Amino acid sequence: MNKCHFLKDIGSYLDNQLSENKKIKLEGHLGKCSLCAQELNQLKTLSEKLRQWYLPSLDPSFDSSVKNKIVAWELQGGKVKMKKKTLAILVPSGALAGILVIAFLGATYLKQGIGGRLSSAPDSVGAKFQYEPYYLERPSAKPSADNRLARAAYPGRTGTLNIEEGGRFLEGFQNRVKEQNYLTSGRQQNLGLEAYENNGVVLGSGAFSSLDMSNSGTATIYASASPKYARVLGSADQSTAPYAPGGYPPQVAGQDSVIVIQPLLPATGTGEMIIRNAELRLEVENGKETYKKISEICQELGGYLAESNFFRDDQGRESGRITLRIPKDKFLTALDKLDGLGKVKDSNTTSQDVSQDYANLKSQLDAAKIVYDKMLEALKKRQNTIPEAIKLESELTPVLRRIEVLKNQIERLNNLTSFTTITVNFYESEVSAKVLEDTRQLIKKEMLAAKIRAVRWFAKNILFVGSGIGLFVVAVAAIAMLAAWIKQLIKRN
Amino acid sequence: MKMMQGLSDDELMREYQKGEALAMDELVRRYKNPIYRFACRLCVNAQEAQDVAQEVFLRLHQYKDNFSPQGKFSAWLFSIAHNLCVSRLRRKKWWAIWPRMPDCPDEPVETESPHPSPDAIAEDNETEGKVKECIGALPFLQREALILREYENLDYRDIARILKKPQGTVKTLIYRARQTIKTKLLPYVEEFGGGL
Repeated sequence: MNKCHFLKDIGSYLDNQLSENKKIKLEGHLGKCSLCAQELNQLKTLSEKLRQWYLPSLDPSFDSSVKNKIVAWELQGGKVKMKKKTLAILVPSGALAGILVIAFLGATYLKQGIGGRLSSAPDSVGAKFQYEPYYLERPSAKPSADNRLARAAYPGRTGTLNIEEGGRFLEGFQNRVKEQNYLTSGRQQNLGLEAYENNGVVLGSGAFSSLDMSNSGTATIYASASPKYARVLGSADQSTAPYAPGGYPPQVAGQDSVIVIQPLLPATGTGEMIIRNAELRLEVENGKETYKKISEICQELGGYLAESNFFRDDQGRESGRITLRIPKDKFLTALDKLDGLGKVKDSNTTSQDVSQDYANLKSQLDAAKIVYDKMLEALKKRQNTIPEAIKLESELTPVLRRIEVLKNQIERLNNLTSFTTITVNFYESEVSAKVLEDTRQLIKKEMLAAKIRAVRWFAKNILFVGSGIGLFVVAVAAIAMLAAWIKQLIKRN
Repeated sequence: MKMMQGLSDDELMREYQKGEALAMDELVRRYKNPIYRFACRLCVNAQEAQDVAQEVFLRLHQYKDNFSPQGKFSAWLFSIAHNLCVSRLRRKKWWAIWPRMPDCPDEPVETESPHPSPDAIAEDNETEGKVKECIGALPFLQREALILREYENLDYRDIARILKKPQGTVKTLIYRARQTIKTKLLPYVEEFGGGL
């Protein structure tokens, strides 16, 4: 059947959508082409027939229902629904994101507060502490005071820190106070101390028990230490004070700022007689290795093992308890080295000043010696009769015994004070590296065995597997074809 | 109100943008039936078509400030209706597109309506039934283009704007729709003396 190329434009002509030129051309053509004329008639009739599809008008109540809908929408806040939905998602998401950001920042702040912000030095604080002086400064030097106090607190030495709050002096120390409290009360850690005179000369070291700060800018440290600490270091002028070893300027306190270190026990004037004990609980990776290392540290520092126990439980976890006797001047070094062997779970250090006892014993010994000497002299002079001599000797014996006892006691005190006692309890963590390694090896073996089993199984059941895969492929193909067919059907409809 | 009746669609819209509520009443009066019938013929049943019509006027209110008289107001309104119908169809997807498309007039609008129900009308007029069937069988875009042209009397440019298609495509869609209906309707009308 031949088709006229104007046929496609008949519809547009009927709809009055043709340009004037095309319209004139088509009208001229319609008179000549019967096919196009027929098409035009058919389309006109079709249009008439199509318009027979009658639909009733809407109910008059429609207007009011539209108004009601608009009013209801306005009452709901007059916002577009789409936006509401977006807000419903955005607001909770935003809130959640905000909480997460705050939590993250908070966590970072706290982390820095404990580990980083307190210790600005890149090196290990614990290691440095021993060589750096400890200063308290006036408010004008708060930033560096923060660092130093932090340095002092962080290593976790003996003693407790107690800083009074309130007043302008401590205003700038609020954060630090909290941190100190956290470090000290939370971990029950005390501070070690090295005291310097304002000219940078080391006075000695010791463990202090408490520290008080007053609003006037005076700081007092109470320490259980040697009598040297009972000195008032006094005020120092910043401009004239020389720098102390360790990189920090010496006490930069003003005229009214002094550091007073006083011993808790009265001074005896007989030197440093302090019994120091420390107890550590460590979580370690390898028990045997730790035991070995502790022995090495002890030997290296010139100490000896007083007691040692080693255990292994049913699960193969190793633990032990070792008591070390370390020379008193190596006490802090030993603690530092032991800290590095594992995770410190608990650390407790005590010190007892026995200077008074020592002085008393010495006095008693001196007195006993004098009595003994006098009695001996009398015995030499009055050797008249044998019974008399026996009587005098029997009087002399208890004095002699007393002298020996006192000597022993003094010797014991000397021993206790010249060597410190450190007890280390260590245990392997629940999942130690050794256990992990064993488990890893076991899993490796099991996986290899499973692979071998799988290959064997496939080799045996190759036919079954092949047909199964074939069936699966056929099923997938059938489903895909069905889906395509349904899609086509929908499209056609 | 009389004054509002004398205004064009664009002028009414401008009045409504200024806050004149009577303008909205006039616009509803003018377009409620065309929109309702368009929705009803296109794809949805009578109740849904009424909902669509209500929604169209609500959108008109919500977006009144966005309206600018660049094109025809009716085209803008029908494009809203088109979007709503499409989204409804998308939501219903399988069962909405498939067998229930031509069933619009099968469901009565309101039993107490003073007008005859679509069912009654369909029964009275067999040709109308056949027309419904033929239009319902058309692909969606062809159906929509034909309805907008035949029943709403919109020109190709406005239809193209509503469907978001080029004018040439609209022309082809309408041509194909007419040819399909003609092929289906021709034997029927010849048999019953419709005179095609």
